[in-house]
Amino acid sequence: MIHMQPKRIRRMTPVPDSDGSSNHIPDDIIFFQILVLLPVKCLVRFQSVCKSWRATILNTQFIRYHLEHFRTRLSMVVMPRRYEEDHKKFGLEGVTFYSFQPGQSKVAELILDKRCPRGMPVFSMPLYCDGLILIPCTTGRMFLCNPATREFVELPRGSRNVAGDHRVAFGLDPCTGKYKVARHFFRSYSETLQADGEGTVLEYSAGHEILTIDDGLDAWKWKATIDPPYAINARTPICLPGFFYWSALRSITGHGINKVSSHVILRFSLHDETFTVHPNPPCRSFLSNNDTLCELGGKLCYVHSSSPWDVDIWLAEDGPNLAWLRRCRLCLPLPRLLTVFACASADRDKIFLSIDAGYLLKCDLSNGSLEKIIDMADLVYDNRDGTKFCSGVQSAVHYMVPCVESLLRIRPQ
Amino acid sequence: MASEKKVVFLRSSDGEAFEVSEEVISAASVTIKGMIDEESPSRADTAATTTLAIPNVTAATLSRVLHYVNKHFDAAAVVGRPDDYIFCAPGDEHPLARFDDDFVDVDNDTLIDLVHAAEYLHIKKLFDLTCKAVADKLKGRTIDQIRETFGIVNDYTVEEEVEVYRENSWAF
Repeated sequence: MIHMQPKRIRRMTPVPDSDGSSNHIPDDIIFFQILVLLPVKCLVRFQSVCKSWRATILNTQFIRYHLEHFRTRLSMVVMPRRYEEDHKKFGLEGVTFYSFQPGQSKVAELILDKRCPRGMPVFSMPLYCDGLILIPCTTGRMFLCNPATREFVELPRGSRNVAGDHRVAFGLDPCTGKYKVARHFFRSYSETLQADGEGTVLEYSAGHEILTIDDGLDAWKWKATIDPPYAINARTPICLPGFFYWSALRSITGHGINKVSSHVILRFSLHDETFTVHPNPPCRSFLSNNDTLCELGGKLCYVHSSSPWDVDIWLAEDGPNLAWLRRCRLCLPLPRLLTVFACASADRDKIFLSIDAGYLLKCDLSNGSLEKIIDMADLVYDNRDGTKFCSGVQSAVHYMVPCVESLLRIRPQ
Repeated sequence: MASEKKVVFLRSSDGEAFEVSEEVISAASVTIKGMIDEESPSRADTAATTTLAIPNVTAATLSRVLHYVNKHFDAAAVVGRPDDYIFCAPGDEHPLARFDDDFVDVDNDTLIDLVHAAEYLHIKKLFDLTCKAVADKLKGRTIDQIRETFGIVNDYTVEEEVEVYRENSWAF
């Protein structure tokens, strides 16, 4: 033990410079404490530094670690497109991704302008997970994009669907750490009048298949699962950890003006690939095609819109059965035409509501108050090449999803 | 004595000793707290002051580290002397944000020495601050500057380097 009298020197102010000792920082500090803080674009560039930097930046463990660092830095990605009555007839030149901070700015800045040489079909509500955006087209084609790394890939076509509506699900399977896409399809479908003229006979054969984004043997191929117990309908499904939630039609009674459809929620487990059937929220009025499924703070959310002015927000506590609770009842400041989507904001109690993907509101769930954020027709799209535009009075749809920056790769390296 | 406060001396790799309050340095550095705890049984009956050898940190770096530690971990300094808040501009996230910005506004080698020291002494706040500062400095650097900063040898062949560049040219 040393008990020597020390030199009594007090120098608590910084000295001008060190003696120039440039010890090198160990790799694990460089990678997991320093590089992990850098934005994706920087890291893509830094792959040129040397082989071990490139290997690390492309390494799955590093990518996940980086993602967790950036998860709190959420911004919105907006994908505007023209509104087309006839989806089949008109196509698009491609898709453009803009980043947008609702409430803080009225300008959306271009991240990626992806033109497809032979055009692409009109797309519907995009899905997102960990910085990846899945763009489902109304014809059944679908594209997966990481706007931060600019990777843009068309997924293989799935089985033939005789019905006109296509919906796909997309999310992470926590058991395997793989991203999965699911789609439903009809081998046959018919609704006919009962012989006695009293009801409707529904005859169909429905299928469901899954594609894994991976470099394994089964990757990039659609693999059939067990058939869904009811006919999945055209409502964008939601992914919560380990499960896809589809909306499905259980039965139809009556016909014409007296036709009553009864809907359920099908929960598909990514772990054992089975369906379980769950009730929709116990709304007093009929559930309709104007309702949407959303995700709020890790919970399944049902947005019920009984009239163009009314919206109820229901949240489900997950468990063996979905325990629905009505969180909020709202009166919209302008009528919706089709649907209202809900989306979480950085603030736990506040959510964004998008009316027909064209008018954005912020809603305080604790008291139901609404605040106008922006009429998306007034949003300035900045192409960062000196050109800017507003959709203005032109009919346009402005799809918006929350998105984090991630290095996740879509295609195997 | 009212002003009696336990102090320890830290001896840098190049032999200089620095006095610091035991309470403050224990709150800041997990490594030094461990050293003090190990020493304590033998100190109970002696008035002699402990000197701890910090063999990995030079005097220049250690004095910077202690400057930081006294600002961040000396409760008396932070709470008791409102004058210290002259560093604090309106809108700063926390009172020491300005101090932190100035603290890491140093040349590369100094900053890298601070990362090492913060890691060795296990001062998490300082480690996070200096790592963030290194990351911020890297953002605008060219590939050659990055290699120089970390003493990295380019192990790509010319063809490989061109290929990697072509793949990622949009990010340059």
